[in-house]
Amino acid sequence: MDQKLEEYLEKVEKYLKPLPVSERVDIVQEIKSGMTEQSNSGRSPEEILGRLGDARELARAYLSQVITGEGDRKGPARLGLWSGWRRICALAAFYSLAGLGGMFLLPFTSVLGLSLMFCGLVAPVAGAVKFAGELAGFKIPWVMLEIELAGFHYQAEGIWMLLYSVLMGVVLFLAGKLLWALTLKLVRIFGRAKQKMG
Amino acid sequence: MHIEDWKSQIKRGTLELCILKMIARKPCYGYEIISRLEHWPILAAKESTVYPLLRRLLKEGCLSSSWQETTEGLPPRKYYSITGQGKEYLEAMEGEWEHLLEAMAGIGQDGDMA
Repeated sequence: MDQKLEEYLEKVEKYLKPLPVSERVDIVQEIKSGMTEQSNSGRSPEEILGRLGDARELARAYLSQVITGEGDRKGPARLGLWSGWRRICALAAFYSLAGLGGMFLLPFTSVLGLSLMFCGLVAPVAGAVKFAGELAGFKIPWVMLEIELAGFHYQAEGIWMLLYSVLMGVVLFLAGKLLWALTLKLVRIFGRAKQKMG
Repeated sequence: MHIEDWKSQIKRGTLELCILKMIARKPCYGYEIISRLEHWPILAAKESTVYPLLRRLLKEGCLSSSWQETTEGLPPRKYYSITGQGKEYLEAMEGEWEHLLEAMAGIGQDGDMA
C-alpha cells in the first residue's frame, strides 16, 4: 500500500486512542479496505486522501459518538462508571481535535461541570459527618458552613448545618449537571460542524 | 440563499433512511454504499460521514456486520446486514417519509386548512 495512505491510517489510529483496541482496529481496517477498493478502481492516493479529508475530522466524527453516547444502546442518560471514564478520555482527546472552540470552551465546561457535580456529592456527606460528630460530642473544625455578607455573619450549627449542606449539594450538583449537558451539546456541534456533507 | 446548506441538511436527515433501505435489499460493504450513493449527487456522501453513521447504526442494533474474504485478491470487506430491529426502524422511517410527502403535496394547494 502507498506510503501516504499508510501514514494517514496511522494518524487516524493515533487520534482514536481512547477507543478500545478492538474497535480501533475494526475502524482502521474498514477505512483501509475502502482505500484498496478505490486504488484498484484507478484512483490515485492523492484523490483517495482528498475524499477522506483531514484525519482529525474523521477521528472526531467517531469520537463524538462515544462522548455523547449516541448509538449506545443504553442511551446517553445511562452513564456507567467504565463507559463514563472512557467518555472522559475520549473527551480529552477530542479537545485537541476540535480546534480553537474546543480548546478553550470544552475544558472549561467539562472540568467545571464534573467538579461541581463532585462537590455536590461531597457537601452533604461532609455535612452529615459534622452533624454526626456534634451528636457524638466532638467538633470537626475542617467542616464549616459560614455566610459572611455585608456585616452579617452566620455560622450553621447542628441540624441546620446538615440541612444547608444537603441544599448546597443539590444546587452544586444541578449546576454541574447543566454544564456537563452543555459540554455534550458542544461536542455534538463540533463533531458535525466541519463535516460538510458530500 | 444558501442552497448548499439546505441540501446538506436534507442529506443529513435522509442518509440514514437511504442506507438502511440499501442494506435491507441485500448486505453491503461500506465502499459499495458510498459508490452507490454517488450515482445521485443529492445523496453523495463522503467516507467521514458514511463510516461513522454505519458504526452508530451497528451499535444501536439496527445493523450487524461480518468481515468476509474476497476472491479477487482484494482485502476482506466488512459487510453490513439489517437486523429485526433495523427493519422495524426502517418501516417506521418509511411511514414518516410517506407522511412528509403527503404533507408537502397538501401544503402548497388551495383549500381549507382544517
